[in-house]
Amino acid sequence: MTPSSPLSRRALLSTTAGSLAALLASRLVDPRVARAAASAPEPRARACIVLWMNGGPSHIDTFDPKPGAATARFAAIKTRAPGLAISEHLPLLAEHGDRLAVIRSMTSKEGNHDRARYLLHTGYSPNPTVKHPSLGGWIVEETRGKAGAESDIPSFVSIGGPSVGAGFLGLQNGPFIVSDPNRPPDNVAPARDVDDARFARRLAARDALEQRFRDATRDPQLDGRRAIDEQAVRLMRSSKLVAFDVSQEPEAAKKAYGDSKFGRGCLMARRLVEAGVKVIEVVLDGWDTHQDNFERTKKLMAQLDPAFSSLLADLKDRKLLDSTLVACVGEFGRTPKINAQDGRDHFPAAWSAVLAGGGIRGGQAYGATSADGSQVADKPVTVPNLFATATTLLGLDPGKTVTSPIGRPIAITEDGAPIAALIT
Amino acid sequence: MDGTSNVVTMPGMSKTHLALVTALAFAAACGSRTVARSPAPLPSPIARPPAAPLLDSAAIDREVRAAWTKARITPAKDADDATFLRRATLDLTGRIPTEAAVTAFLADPSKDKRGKAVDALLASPAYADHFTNVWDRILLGRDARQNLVDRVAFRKWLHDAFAKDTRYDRLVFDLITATGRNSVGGRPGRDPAAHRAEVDDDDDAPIHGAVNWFLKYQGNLPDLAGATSRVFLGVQIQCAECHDHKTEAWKTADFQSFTACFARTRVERIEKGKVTGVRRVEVKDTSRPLRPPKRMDVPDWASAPPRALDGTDFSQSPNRRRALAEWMIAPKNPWFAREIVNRTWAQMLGRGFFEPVDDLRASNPTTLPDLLARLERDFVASGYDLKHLLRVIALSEAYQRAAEAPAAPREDGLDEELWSHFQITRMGADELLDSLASATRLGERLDRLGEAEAERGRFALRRQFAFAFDVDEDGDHHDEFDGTVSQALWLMNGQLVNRASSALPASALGEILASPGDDASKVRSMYLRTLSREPSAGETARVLAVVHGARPGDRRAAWEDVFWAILDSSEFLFNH
Repeated sequence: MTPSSPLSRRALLSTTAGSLAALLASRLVDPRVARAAASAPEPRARACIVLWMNGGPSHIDTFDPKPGAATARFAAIKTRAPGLAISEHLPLLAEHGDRLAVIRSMTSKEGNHDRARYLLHTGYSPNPTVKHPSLGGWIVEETRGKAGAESDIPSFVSIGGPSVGAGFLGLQNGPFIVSDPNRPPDNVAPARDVDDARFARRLAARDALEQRFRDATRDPQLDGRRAIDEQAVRLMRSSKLVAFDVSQEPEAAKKAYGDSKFGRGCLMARRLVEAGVKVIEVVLDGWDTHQDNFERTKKLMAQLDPAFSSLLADLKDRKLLDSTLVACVGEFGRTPKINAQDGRDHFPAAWSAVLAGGGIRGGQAYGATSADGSQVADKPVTVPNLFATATTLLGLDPGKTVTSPIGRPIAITEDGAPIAALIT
Repeated sequence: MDGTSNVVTMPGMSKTHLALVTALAFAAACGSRTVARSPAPLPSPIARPPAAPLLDSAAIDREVRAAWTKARITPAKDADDATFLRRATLDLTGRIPTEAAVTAFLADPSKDKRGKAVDALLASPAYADHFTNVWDRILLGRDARQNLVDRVAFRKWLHDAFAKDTRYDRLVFDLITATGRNSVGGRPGRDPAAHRAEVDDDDDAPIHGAVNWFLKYQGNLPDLAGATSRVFLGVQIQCAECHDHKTEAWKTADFQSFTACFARTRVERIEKGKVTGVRRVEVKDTSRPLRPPKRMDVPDWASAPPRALDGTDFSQSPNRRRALAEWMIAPKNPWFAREIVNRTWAQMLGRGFFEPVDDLRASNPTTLPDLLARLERDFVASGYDLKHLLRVIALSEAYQRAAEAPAAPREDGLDEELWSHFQITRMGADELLDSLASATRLGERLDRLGEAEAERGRFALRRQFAFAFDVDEDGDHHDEFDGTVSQALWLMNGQLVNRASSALPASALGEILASPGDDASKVRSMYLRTLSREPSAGETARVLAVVHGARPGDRRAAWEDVFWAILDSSEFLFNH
């Protein structure tokens, strides 16, 4: 497990944080030694919220503004952080500039939605022979059995989208899906005419009636099914279920996050972090702006801006920001060139990702693109590097390997090293 | 995000993707230099009349039994008749048997009734329904939501092929070489009947549903090539996309050459501008290189010589896809028959000769390679007859073992590897939906609404279903309904199962309760409909204790509880 580029190596060596530096350096020197030591990094964040910008947002129109460039239409505004400017359509977020680390030098080779979505969720390009676990899956797996990990509600929740499952780590580590943040999760209440007592009678009848089958087949899949079922029933009966109920929030809060599905999702995410959920993904869909890029991007930013900024403010107020890593990222950027439909096409060569909270050094732009936004000009960051940074902050050794079902060792990230300059 | 529809795309994601733009730009650049669509005379391997099949199930039994003896394995006992019928009905028609079918089968005294039952299942219309679902899942998978893909039209093509007993080599040949229109346009979910049309109403141009598979890849030819090699040849050459394969002989250049076989097929727009639903396009082959659009890097495969996996060169071929398909299905192709035999065996027995089912590289250990080779030869000799293959497997001893794992499984795993007992598997999403419909009369109720309405109803059900069942990438078998928390909640508390288990007058339970006969006969009927077997005396007593233990006013509710309990039991949810 070695850093992929001299740049990240240089970045690593510039670190100042003592123990972190030691850990990172040990990976540099000899990966085998690092693995043998197997000491997971001290977690800086205990929860992670991913704001998933589905479709791939235009970097130039959001977090990497190019005022004056031939293909730019939006102006840039200053943020609270000196030298950090973002799109004029993100004024509320600009107030939190000191909390944002804007990586402007993201780069990948995956320009297809499905493949890039997989890459961004798992740190790997799709490979038909192995189903890589998503970041959420790793975190659930790796924190199981640790203090505070046991909960009646799922540790990994995806709001408004299917996310990516835990791959070979198994179903028990996969996401629990909330299809609509405006109502409780689907099917958590018994059917009409079924009260708690009747529900309990039904479960008892089922268990009694299937006993013969269980005894005869002796198949471990049946134990697995029972475990998942018990998890589902615990969720139904959990007092923490109320964390999914955004209607309990004051009107002012709902208004602050914006009256959108995404705004409600971010509000739910905050409630879930408070309830102890480890990984929450909230989807804002619609960034695939091949046509009519500017109007659509503007509308999307009008949803992103209040939701993202209120989330940061709320987490800060509740003293949760330092322990919650927030990432805002999509599958790739969009072309600097504007196409015939006034749209922008897929662009994996250079794009932006934003990190905040849990151990992130805010108030900075990391890396840069060229004047027209068409290529990375400074400190390229790969998706595995981004992953390694996030997992390190969450207390996972990015080089840790697990043996996949076909016997191949799979690391949490391959060829990824954390970027020290992003970490406080 | 709309994760519920399978054709109509997510808002904002439905627009032309870059790859599509690429394909369309290719098309624009090429004008109309297409190869005329000929009526496609069959290449020689297909035209040959089938020879007489060589194998019967006894030949399989001899080899498997010898392996059991050698490994000192005591196989599980023979599955009883009821279990066999349920298993075969699920595996061959994708749903559980009806109460009438179970009763008739159990009452039939003839010795060869299992063979007769298998023949009847293979001859039933549900056979085509089931294998349409199976291949839809393998080929389009769950991520085919682009606005170029008309799943209804694709399924119609598959269904026609299975209903007509199309030879497997012909099926694959047609898929690989398909040209023509993808769709009649519009939203397939709204009007599924229109999407099964043969021609486009606008100008009578023929619709060829098979092209939707090509379109799924949106111009991403490496993925298309990788899937072709993996699904039909069991060769995971895509590992060589980025680097030479580590354990096999495949080089990156081999992969590029294989990909180049698809590089002269283009997608031509029928309608311009914004569309709602599926965009109508036409897939055509050309004989000249497609010109890449400006500002795009020219991919390496664009200039690679088109070659098969064994190096056969198609550079001189006027139609590369056709040349590739002919090479793939030729009887001397060492991979083609092996892959489908293994896949089919795994579909039936839960585990293939090699696993994963689509990875036949030499370094992947193969169980009973001689038997696999015999089945391959037999399959080719039978004229690539899928029903023959299914029948031979279904009547083998290995397939008919009870699903009873040994009390002490062997540490070396040889018992499982040699199919000493039947591997239980969860029903797939389609199987579960169809089985629920069969057990609860839901299907009949839908059918009474008329075809278009019934199709719409099924679509709505499927959509309800899809959100909870739609988490992962496309996988090959049995992994859709894999039992997540969301799915467990759906089964316990969702509308479908609860309605299905209600005692409303037109429902299955309502009908059972209204039937003459004592309560024990009602329990029997319930078991036959759901678990496809008679209840034991102990089970009947247990159910009656629940029902009779309830206050008279709550009896109906108690019956519902029992029906619910059976539908949510593992014995119902698994194929065993």
